[in-house]
Amino acid sequence: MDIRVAGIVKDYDGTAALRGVSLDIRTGELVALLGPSGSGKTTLLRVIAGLEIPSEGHVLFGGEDATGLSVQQRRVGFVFQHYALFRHMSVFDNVAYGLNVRRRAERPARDAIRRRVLDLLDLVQLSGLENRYPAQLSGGQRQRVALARALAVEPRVLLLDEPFGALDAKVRRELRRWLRDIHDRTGHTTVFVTHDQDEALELADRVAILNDGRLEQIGTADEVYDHPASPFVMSFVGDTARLPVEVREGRVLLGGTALDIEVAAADAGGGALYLRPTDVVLTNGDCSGLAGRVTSLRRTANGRRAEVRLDAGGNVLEVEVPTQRPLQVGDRIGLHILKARLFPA
Amino acid sequence: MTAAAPPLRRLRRPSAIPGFGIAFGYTLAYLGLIVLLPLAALVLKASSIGLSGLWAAAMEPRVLAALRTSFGLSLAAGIVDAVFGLIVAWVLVRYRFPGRKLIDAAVDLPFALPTAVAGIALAALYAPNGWIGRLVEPLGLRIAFTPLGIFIALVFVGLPFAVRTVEPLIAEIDRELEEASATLGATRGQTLRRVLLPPLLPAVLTGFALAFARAVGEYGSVIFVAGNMPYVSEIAPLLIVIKLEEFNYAGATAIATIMLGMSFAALLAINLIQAWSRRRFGHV
Repeated sequence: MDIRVAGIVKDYDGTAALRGVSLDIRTGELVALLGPSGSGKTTLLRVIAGLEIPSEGHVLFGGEDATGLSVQQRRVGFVFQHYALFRHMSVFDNVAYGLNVRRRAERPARDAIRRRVLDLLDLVQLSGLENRYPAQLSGGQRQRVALARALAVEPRVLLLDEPFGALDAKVRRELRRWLRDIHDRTGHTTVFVTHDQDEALELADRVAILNDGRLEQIGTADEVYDHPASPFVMSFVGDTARLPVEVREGRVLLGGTALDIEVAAADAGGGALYLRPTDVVLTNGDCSGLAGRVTSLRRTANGRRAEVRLDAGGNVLEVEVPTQRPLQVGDRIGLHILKARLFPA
Repeated sequence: MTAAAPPLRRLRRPSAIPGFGIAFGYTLAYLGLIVLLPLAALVLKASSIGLSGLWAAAMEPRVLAALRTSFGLSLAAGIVDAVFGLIVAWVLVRYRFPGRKLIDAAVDLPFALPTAVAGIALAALYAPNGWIGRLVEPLGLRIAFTPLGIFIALVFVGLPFAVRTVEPLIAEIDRELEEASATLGATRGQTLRRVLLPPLLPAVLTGFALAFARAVGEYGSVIFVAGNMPYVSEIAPLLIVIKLEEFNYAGATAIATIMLGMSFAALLAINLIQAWSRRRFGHV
């Protein structure tokens, strides 16, 4: 089922959480809502679920206006960050809950419910644990029970609020892959909220980046990574250095020195150059262009990160350095910029 | 510490939170001196008339009637307090309304008020010429000076126990549980019945037990509003006082011992039910 969000505004006693967000999510798509805390991503998810009533705007499911529908009528599967499992019910009863509360006419027969619950527990790889209580499960297992519970009611869309936020890094990575797998198998239209850009870029078909109640950009991982629509998106999806520059006659000047880069459609005037640590390489000793002094060195998973204080302007730039290259704090090095984005200041 | 520790050492395990010895010793000494010693003296005194004497004292029709009045009405009052207390606590925790703090403070008044004052106030209200008594009189209903009056007094003194035991648990209920229930299609009533109330049950039972225990022992407020008619509206504690005034110490201790036994049995039963319901519903 496709979801359309049109012009959603949400005010909390005068403070705006969402300032007009519009978004189209296609059937069967896995979309991440990404943003820093306070960006409104969770509020947007809750508006889609019907847990928050928007001040303005509409939510459409499959072209049908769902704005006036109650939570119960929307038939969404919602997974909470802290699982929200019913502690006094066994795993089985938790998963069966949504079916058991249906009106008698719509409720499946007892053994049909039983079959469905056991199938779902099989899907989330928790077979044999149906008689346990939530307190007897690990965090990752609880979150999988919560997902099975949400899937039990055959939801039209699946919504997950920071589903892996409370789990440790290793379990997170496992569950990520596994969620992708479940999504591909069940084909639910899925929206999940996260503040972890790696999680969003790795898992989702498209990523919607929110900031301060507005949608900054929605696109595939490639699109938001390679063609960020705004400085915010650029700096949010990865490490970014910002260099204040001047543009004159099609050339980019940093502290008076011309940089050896081409910038498409550069307007004259002030601007800021955004670049990633991997977009800069060290020259072979040539310090005639952009140059600076190494102020600190750090080991990372793939290499080393050098902080370089540039001669021009005195800005500090982070550079990814291969481990083979001998380098020490205090060395003077030349830099070559491979790629950068210019945004007007 | 040597390898062959004496048996007593087994109670003392190395722990990050020391002080077990002194705390446990204090608990035993306190319980012994303040609680068990007077009760033992009571049982000892009662035993002077022997088991057959105790049985004879208990089987006295007037004593039987008083015990029935006391325990029956306390049970009823405890149940009403448990239900009413749950509602009051729910309203106090869940809703914000003007005067909430006032009502919150008023809940504790039965704790603080001298019970005799409460009894006199209730008697004045419910007497046939009182504010409420006058209203129900034409309906042929008499409250003061009947078992109904006792019941109302017992509900009054027990309410704070029922409210205060469930209040913290209601405050702890995670909003997301209700939201999860709603997204799964449950109505408000189903959410209340299946999700919210079961985890509260142990606390409701504790509140009931406390209100019931308080009601069994209540004296001051009841005697003013009860009318104290033998066989009808006479409570067991009053009968004890009456026996004492007659210098019938054996008779008084006999009733007291029976009350003690019944109360202990009732509280033990409630504790067992609670332990069961904790296992059943309390998987925290």
